[in-house]
Amino acid sequence: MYRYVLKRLLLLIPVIIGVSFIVYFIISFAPGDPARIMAGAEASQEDIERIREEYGLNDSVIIRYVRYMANFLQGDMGTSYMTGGSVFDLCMKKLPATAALAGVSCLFTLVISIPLGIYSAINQNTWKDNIAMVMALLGVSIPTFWFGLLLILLFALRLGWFPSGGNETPLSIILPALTLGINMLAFMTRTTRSSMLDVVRQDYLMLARAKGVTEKKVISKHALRNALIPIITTLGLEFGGLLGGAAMTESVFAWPGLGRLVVDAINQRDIPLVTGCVLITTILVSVVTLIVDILYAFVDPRIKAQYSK
Amino acid sequence: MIDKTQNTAPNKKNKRRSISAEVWRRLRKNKGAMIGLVIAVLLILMALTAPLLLDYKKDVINQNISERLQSPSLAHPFGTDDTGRDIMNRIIYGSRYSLSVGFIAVTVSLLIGVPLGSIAGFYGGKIDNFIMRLADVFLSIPTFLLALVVVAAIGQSTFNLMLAVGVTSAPSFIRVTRASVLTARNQDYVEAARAIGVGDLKIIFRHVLPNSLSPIIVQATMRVGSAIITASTLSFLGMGVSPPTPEWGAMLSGGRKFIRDYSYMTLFPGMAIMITVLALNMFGDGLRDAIDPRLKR
Repeated sequence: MYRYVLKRLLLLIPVIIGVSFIVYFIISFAPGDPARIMAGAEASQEDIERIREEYGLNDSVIIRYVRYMANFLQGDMGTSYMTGGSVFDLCMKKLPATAALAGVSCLFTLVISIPLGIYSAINQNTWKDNIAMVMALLGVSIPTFWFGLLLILLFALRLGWFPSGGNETPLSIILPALTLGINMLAFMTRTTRSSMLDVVRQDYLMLARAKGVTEKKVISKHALRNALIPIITTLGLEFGGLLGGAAMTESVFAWPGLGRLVVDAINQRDIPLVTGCVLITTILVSVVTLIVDILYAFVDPRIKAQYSK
Repeated sequence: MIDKTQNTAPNKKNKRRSISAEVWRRLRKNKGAMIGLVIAVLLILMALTAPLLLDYKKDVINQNISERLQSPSLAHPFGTDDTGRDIMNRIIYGSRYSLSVGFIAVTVSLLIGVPLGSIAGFYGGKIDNFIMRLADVFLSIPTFLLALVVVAAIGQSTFNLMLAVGVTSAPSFIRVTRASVLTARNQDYVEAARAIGVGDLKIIFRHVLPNSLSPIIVQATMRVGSAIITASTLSFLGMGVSPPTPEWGAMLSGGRKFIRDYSYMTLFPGMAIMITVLALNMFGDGLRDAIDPRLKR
């Protein structure tokens, strides 16, 4: 088990090198001179030259990338062109807000989609199931930024129950978290339903019922446990999309997190900051995927046995 | 061996035709899929005929300040925007952008993903390892972030938007194609073709790919909807199609400032995106069930 985790963590290294390489190169091709943007509109040509020299912008992309990676290996993710601050510090300052948002989204998803999916599966092909499935289909198809605008319109502007943006009060997180999670929530409801349907027809459930186990216990103890594997897989796979979607959700709700930082950084051609943000997000996604894989072992002893090989 | 290939060739053709007929038969029975298909066809017709019904300069982008911010009425069923343009006209014309972005982006993904996936699956070994590790790296970056970065790098235009969305969703097509080719390449007819000296390329395109198409078709159908959403989200953030082009995401971005008092400006373009994606998803779900009944629940 430990060896498996260690192996997976080591596999992160090529991913980090690959991702940083790809992002650094792509964003370096972006039109617009970072030195000019940094210097401001009224800067003289000499000022721009000086900045270019200071940040090493005169060197070729490859040399800049190698220098970036050399610093990265020493724990330095570079300096932001925009603010002059350390990229790592900037990202870490914004990370908790995004993590909180993603966490609350996952919580909403788990609390709503798993019971709803089970309910749908138990009532398969009845009107209850149909309504739940139509809602889930709508939830998968809705553009999240529009859903966010609708939530703002209804709950913030018309009803005034929640703030329309920012994060001044604890209530502020509700609307953005719902927005961020809506696609995942709907998708998970569908996954839970189909995963449950796979399991409910199995013989061992019939046996449990024949033994006189109550229906509630059959579902919650015997069926759900086996249905959980695909559900957990989906959760892990969707988490990456969740962090990607944060860029949009945070822009709609003026949520001060990593996603908005990345959008600002892209607009300013802040190459180190963009690379840093994307890298940190990617590492986060990979770590969550790993945690999900470890979770399997707890749900399913068969998988645990495989890991220890 | 030679005899065998000659004998099976016509049979295979017959069988393939009957498979597509069977898929269509199952699809027709699926109400949701048919509703989705009808809506999607209507939307495509709307996109194709829009230039006949509307004059782009006069009806779609012409500003008319005297009629600005009018609520929905008989003259303007969806109201007018902050520069007096009719929102319904813009939505009708905008279907051309959203639909073509969706379809062309997926075509780009297919053009990248299918050849790379076939090569990886067919040859295996080092090439496979290289292509798949590269795909893994791309897949580990959240798709939307990657699309943002690519659009920033290649600049904003409708075509670049298609390219960015297409390139970033290509890795998942590499995966699907590879998995599908892996199962097809060990079949007897591939062995037979190789035995009579057919070249690798021809084997891949004539024999392996046609037999691994179903998962690729299903994936492509499902991806059109998500490509439309990704593209409109980018436009909404000001990184995709720029004004005055009536792209739905860009229209939402313009309407957002007026959401408090003129919410219809945000309602209708969003609804257009949702209906389009919903129709494509309903059709895609049905197609998946029809192609692979084992998945049907």
